Amino acid sequence: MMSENSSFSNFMTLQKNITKRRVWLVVLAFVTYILYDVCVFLLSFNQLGIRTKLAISLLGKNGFNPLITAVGSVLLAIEGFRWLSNRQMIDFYESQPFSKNAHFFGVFVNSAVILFLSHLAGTGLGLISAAAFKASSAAVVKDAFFCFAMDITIFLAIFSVSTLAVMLTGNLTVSVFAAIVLLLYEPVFKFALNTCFTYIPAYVGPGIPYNGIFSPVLTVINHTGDIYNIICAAVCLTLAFFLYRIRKNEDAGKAVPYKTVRIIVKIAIVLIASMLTGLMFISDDSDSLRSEVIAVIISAVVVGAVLEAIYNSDVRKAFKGFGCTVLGGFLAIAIIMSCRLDLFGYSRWIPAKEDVASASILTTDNVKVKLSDIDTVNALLKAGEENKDETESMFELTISYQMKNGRKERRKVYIPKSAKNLMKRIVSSDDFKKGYFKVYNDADIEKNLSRVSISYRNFEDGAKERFANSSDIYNDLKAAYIRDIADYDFDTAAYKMEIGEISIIRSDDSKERNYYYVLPVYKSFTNTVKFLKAHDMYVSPGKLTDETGNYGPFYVFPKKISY
Amino acid sequence: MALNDVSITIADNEITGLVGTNGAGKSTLLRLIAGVLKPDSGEVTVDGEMTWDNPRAKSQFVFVSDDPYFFSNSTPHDMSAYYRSIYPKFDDVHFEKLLWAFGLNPAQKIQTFSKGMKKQLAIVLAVCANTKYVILDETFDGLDPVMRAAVKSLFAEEMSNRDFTSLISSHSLRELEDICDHVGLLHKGGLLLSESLDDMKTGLLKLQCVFSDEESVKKLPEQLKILSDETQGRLHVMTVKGTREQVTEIFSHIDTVFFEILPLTLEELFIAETEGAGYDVRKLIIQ
Repeated sequence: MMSENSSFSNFMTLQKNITKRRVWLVVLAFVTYILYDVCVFLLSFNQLGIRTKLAISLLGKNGFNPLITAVGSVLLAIEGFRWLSNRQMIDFYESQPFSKNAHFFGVFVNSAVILFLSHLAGTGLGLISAAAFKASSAAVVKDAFFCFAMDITIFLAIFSVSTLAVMLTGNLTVSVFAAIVLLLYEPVFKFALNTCFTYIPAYVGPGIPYNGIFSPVLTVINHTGDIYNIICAAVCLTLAFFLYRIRKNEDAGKAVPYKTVRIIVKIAIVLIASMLTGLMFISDDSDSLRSEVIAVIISAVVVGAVLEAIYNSDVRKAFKGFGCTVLGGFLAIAIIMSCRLDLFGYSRWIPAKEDVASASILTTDNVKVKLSDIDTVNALLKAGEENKDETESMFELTISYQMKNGRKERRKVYIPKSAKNLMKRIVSSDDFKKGYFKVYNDADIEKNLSRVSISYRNFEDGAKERFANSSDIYNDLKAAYIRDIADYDFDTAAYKMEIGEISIIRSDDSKERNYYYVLPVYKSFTNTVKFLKAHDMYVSPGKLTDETGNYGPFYVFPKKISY
Repeated sequence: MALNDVSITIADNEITGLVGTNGAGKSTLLRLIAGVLKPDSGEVTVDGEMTWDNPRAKSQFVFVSDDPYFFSNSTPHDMSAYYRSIYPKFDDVHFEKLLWAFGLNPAQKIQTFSKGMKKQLAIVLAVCANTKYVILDETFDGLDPVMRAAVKSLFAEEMSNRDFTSLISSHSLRELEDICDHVGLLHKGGLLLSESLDDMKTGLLKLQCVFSDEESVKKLPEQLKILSDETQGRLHVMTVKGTREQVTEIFSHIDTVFFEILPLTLEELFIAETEGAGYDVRKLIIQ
């Protein structure tokens, strides 16, 4: 009898039997890894000259092995525990002389062995193929085994989450659906939230980061979080094991045996489905509010009904548990409307001066300029937030605050024409000029002036360039340019076109550490023009006028100026 | 609640039948005994050991459910290999012999078998596992009479050759009539009756008689407990409680034209035992 055998022998018998019943998965795993690691490698081998890089990209973490591992882990978990969803199989397996723990960990160990061995076979044969074509190197081997180690953590995390999905459900189809929900809910919900945020008038991204907190899928995509994967695996596998122990076998076949889970899942699914539906109808137009709300309500009712019909395996019970549908739909409307209508006053916020450590504006050419005149920045923010008339707007501006409590706040506003004086004050300030023009921040250039080259080009006919490699003229240029900047103001920035630009490059011997910056040149920059002429670098602007007209490019605020 | 307050003891080396209508709780009881289900309260033991999550207790029996499971694309040989790996005393020679006897092709895919053939195979696998106990859930239901007789003789052979105890459920009493030593009747989750057939037969008699005149019926003494009395013309068919000697003695003082004691069928025993408790057992288990 089994009881007379050792535990190890029992476990090995179980392993053998589990493997027998999932031979197709074993074959699929080996074929997929080998097909990818060897065949794709061989097929791609006409790319001569980049063989080593090709081997690294195929066998390393940026190849498809993590994806194969992720999909394989889901399959192994759902197939491994599918007997829990089938009364016939439960009667068969649970009456056999194996403990429940042995069944659970038997499937886990078996899945791990199938995946590891097939992955190892694929990687090994891939490396042999690479070596046969002289594409192997220490870097290839290192990357391949780094990927293998990373894939182990991916397996642990995704297998555990999928196992949890199986334990939360009692039906194979619903288990697959639950695994997809558990793995993808976080990225989809973050996407929906981030999309909602973009409808807050003054909102500045990047929004909620797509780094994985609950979903290991995000760490697979980002190739990050191996430790996170292990923690995720430990938590989910423990939870799955606990549910496995308390789960009643008579629940096999029920979509979701646990009432609490049914409620939470219904609210969560109705919420995300309604949000996504609402976002399909969303727009900045206030007239679309009604259609957004109607879309959310219809979606909530339909999704709630479908879920309830699945829960009860009975379409006639589709409208049971309507409270969850209402709650999910209400939350979706609340989230969308709180963004659309800015219910939390995100776009009405103006910081108290005493709370601000520093303020800055981000120009449209992505230069962050720190400003000390908080009052003027606040006044600009207020003007932007109160500006509701797009036709009266000059341009879009991102204003950032570093608060004394450590928080960073950013607002994107459309600056109205009425705020021109505020812009003039800002652009004419020393803070702005010293922050915006790189000529004030040229420490990297100054480090090795002997390697500096200066060139000038105008914007007519593409590029007419003159080069000056003499480093001793850099400081002359700098002095001339600073004299010109003294008169630089908002009118120049916004309404005058550059006639050309000076590029300053410091190239080092290694050729890997080049420093580079550009100085715009306006017609009014007479000192700079004089310098360029003196050094035979000047190229006439020709027919080019410095008046902007209705086209660009404009240097500082090129996109949103209205005339 | 599928079962409530059920207490049943199954003796070694007997075949116990469990009858009841659909939904009476037969399968639930068998699944509890097999350790597939965990009782909310109370305990199920096999040889003194709880069966739930206990491999040692489970190694003592094979459970064949009402819809037995076989691996997809497997053959009887594949299944025997699987059973052999779990039950070390699995008898291959016996298995081959029984497959031949039941006309089952060992190399044929089980998915091509009829429902009856699958049940036969499940029974053969269970018997050949050589465990002390075999638990069969409605396995006899659906077998044709020839196969049912074959299985019965197989069980009889097993009982004569080794320690063999079987618990068989059925929704039809007639399926179990000539195989069980002990019968339990489940109804609405409760056990109405659980007795050995010998005990039942000992205290109950079926008799038929024709009285000289109908007034003689009234002369029957009160100590003769009549459970049922059906008349066909002047012929009375009675089920009474008492020993053969006691009844014969009573009727020797009654003026009868004809008197005869007859053997009781299992069905009649059940009717007699349960009607007193107010159940119309015909509706429950006799089809």
